[in-house]
Amino acid sequence: MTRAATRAAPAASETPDPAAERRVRLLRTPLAGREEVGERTWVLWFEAPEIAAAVQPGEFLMLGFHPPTALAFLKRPFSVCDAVEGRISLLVRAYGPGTALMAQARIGDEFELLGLFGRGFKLEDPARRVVMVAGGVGLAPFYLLARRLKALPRPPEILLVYGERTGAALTRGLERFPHFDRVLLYTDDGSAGESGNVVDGLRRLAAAGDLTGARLCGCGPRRMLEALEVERERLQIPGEYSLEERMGCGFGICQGCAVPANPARSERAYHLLCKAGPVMDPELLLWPHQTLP
Amino acid sequence: MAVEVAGIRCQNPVWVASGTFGYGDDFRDIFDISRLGAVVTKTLFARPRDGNPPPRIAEVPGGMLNSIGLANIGWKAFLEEKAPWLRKHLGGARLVVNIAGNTVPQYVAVAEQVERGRVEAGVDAVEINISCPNVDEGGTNIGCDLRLTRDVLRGVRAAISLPLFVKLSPNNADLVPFARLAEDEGADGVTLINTLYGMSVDLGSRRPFLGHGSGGLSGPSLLPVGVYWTYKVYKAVKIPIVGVGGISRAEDALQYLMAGARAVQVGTASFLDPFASLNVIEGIARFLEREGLELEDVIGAAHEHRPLNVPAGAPGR
Repeated sequence: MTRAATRAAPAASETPDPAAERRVRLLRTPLAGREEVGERTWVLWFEAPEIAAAVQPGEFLMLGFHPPTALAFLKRPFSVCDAVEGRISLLVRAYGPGTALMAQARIGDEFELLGLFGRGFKLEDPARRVVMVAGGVGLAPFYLLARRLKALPRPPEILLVYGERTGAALTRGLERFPHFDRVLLYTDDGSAGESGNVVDGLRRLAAAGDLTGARLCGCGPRRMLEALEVERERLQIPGEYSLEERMGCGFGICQGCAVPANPARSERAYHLLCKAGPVMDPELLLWPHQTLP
Repeated sequence: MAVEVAGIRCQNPVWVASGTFGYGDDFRDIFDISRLGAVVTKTLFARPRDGNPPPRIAEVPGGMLNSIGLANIGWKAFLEEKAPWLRKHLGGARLVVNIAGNTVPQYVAVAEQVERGRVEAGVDAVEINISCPNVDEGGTNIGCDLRLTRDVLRGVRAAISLPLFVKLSPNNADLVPFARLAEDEGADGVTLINTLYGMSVDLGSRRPFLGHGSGGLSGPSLLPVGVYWTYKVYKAVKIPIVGVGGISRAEDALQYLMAGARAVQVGTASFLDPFASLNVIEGIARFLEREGLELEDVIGAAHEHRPLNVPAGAPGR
């Protein structure tokens, strides 16, 4: 991803400090670095040693301006993309006026980071092969996940299946990130990598026998995850997904981030993604293909 | 900064609003809730409720829309799972339980449950929500109808021995008749205001953005609306007013207090800054100290009949 991300870091700053207090902090901090990595897409860096030391892959924080602006009143949830040497990075794509302002911020602009929140990916007992399936900025949590998995005593092989609409949107610098053992690229229009989507990529891996003993980690747009879940069920491989939903607060009080629950596994109709997720066992969720008659 | 509101003594006038503070325990990793004036719970029904389909929130200029739909765990689960934690951590902060139902009998049912469990749960007061804009029955349709409001008030008042607040809807041409009705029916105070009706349309799908269609507007844009109704209702009734709507800074809270509120509630501001309520407490204290005023000097100060307590030689006067 960025040069800072690939710089060799002392091991101590890359492994989470188990003693770091799990406490929600509101950190006011200037933007420390930014790099345009694709169409409408930037990596933002912040100096946040406590967050960098405490974050687990898949956990998220809420990012907002200091002070809040009329166009970005609420904070936005972002998975921590990477954490190196006391700095953290977030992958920001300009979707609406608020994220556009964030993506175009200048170094030194004041931000507020609130977190850490949520449940991340499983790190203990990983499969011998982890297949990460990312759509668009759903790529974000997989940098940190790959970094931490490779720091384990018996690191798994890591395959990344990454899809975008077009080649221009692809996150640049992936090839400089050393922890993905194989990368399969797909674009909707075939302008880079293979023409197709990440489900095609998963099928190809299955056909080649590359999913034996593998665990799936998915993150991307809802439609992508819905298609991925149909395929995962068919292939009968274990997996976890990092989901996205509108969040007002990030810690349970606004009740905004409701996701439909699997009625066989829950007494309630919805899970709150900020607390039950954002990384969830897909079997705990109700998927559209399961509600069809 | 201590203040008495409808018979409850609060260590400060800053409460946190219903639906913006969960049941308190979501703040266990954030700050010590015993510093608050009072905690108002998420609206509780007699039975659990799932709430509305997503998306449930949308950002709008000057605030946000929500259509949560009164998702809540129900009184029984609150009593068993949440109240013990609250009792342990509330300290000097008061506990106000917010209640609602779809029908008048459901309001009465949850009120009777709260009355039975009030000592065990440590409840100091009850706030009735008749003003949620996101439910098809039991919300604003009651809060915009004087006869239904009267029926709910009579039923709940008969069931509840604790101080009783009624949270009014701003989706009325005039709140004064509702506030007078609350006073006449024995309510001990009114909470002003709940959210305003609002809608966002998604240009891509060309449909309302929220899963429920419409929602309730909250955030800074509500401030002048709430201050206006606080000022008007203060002139019309003798029972105390708790002001809420658009408060994110001490200056906002002071406007409500000067307009006549005896306490204020911080709501949506807690979403973007969970420490907002503490900042409001500290900011009010700093203002009073700087101006050489007591809290009682400020309450209702915007009304002409109140002489201004301006210390001799105060700067800028």
